[in-house]
Amino acid sequence: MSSSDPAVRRRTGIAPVSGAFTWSSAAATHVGHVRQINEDAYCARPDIGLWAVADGLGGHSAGDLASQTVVAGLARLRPQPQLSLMVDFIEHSLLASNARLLTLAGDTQTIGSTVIALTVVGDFAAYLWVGDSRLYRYRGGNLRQLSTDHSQVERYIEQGLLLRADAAAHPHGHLLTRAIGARHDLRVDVDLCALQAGDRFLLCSDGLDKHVAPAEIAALLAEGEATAVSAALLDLTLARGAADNVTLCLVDIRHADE
Amino acid sequence: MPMNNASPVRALAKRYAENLLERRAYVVARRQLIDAIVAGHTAWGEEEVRALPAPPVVPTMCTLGEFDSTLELPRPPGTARDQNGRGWWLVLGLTLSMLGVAFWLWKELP
Repeated sequence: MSSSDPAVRRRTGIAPVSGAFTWSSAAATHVGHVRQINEDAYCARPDIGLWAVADGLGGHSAGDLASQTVVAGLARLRPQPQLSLMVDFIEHSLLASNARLLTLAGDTQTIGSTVIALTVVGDFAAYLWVGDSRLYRYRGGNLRQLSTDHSQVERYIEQGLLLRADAAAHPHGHLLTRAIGARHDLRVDVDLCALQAGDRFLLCSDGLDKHVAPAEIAALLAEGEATAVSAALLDLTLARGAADNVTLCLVDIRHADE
Repeated sequence: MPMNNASPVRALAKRYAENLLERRAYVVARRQLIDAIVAGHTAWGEEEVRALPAPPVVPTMCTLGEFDSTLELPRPPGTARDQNGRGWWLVLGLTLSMLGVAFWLWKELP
């Protein structure tokens, strides 16, 4: 099965100008080769400069409901004139989704999701995340992971107990330290990034980075239109077994006068 | 692959996550910090973020109830008295040491 199958949901978009920059984006999601349902979801709103990927927690109840609740809340947001306000609204939406999922779950189950959201206002981007859905930035031939996983393994690395090179094979690799729908006192991480023309942002669920190494992601991000590159990333993941659902959004930043 | 983990915005979020900031103070400080960065009033660049000072903690309006619960933390019984006791023992030790040195000087010096 390749990304050209009808099972692949895909969307592309070109946005209006914001400050000195404009952007185009592509997004795709696939159930993979093992799971029965797709518990990932994405939100692509290039018209307001907002993208998000959410990954419902497998093994818990209604992971698909969780991820869809998160992205539906984000998709309802309106554009804001200031980046700080956009950050406030995105965080508020995620906290509202958290409260909703906790109410739906009751005391006996967990309906949870991770999320990575990216917004562009003016010459800056802000990104907010919970869990291990990731944001990468490809700039000048270098790939950088901008988000830091909220995972037990990442905590071991911070404490000096584990080398990053050994993280992928660690038996606690699946344990998250934060998720939407897990606790009432949710903390959403946030950071900024100054934009440069030529920046390429990749938001993805862990279904992608389980199968595709950073060097391979960098090689594919090096050239090609967003739609073609997202299809190539998806095809490579599917060719390697796609044990989990896989979802990605690719955002290309350009000078407004290009 | 390089990781991004030392910006002032992230440092502020980390302090909030560790419960070192009350939510309202965090939101106000974050808004001011992001506005300052976007306006160019705060230096920003991935090479220089490590040199930036810690983000400001902006005092916010609190209700009386919040003051009651945060300003006067309960102490374990006897703590203040124990601290005073330790202080007196320290003064006594220093005094005896000085007397010992003076006695040694009086005996040794011609």
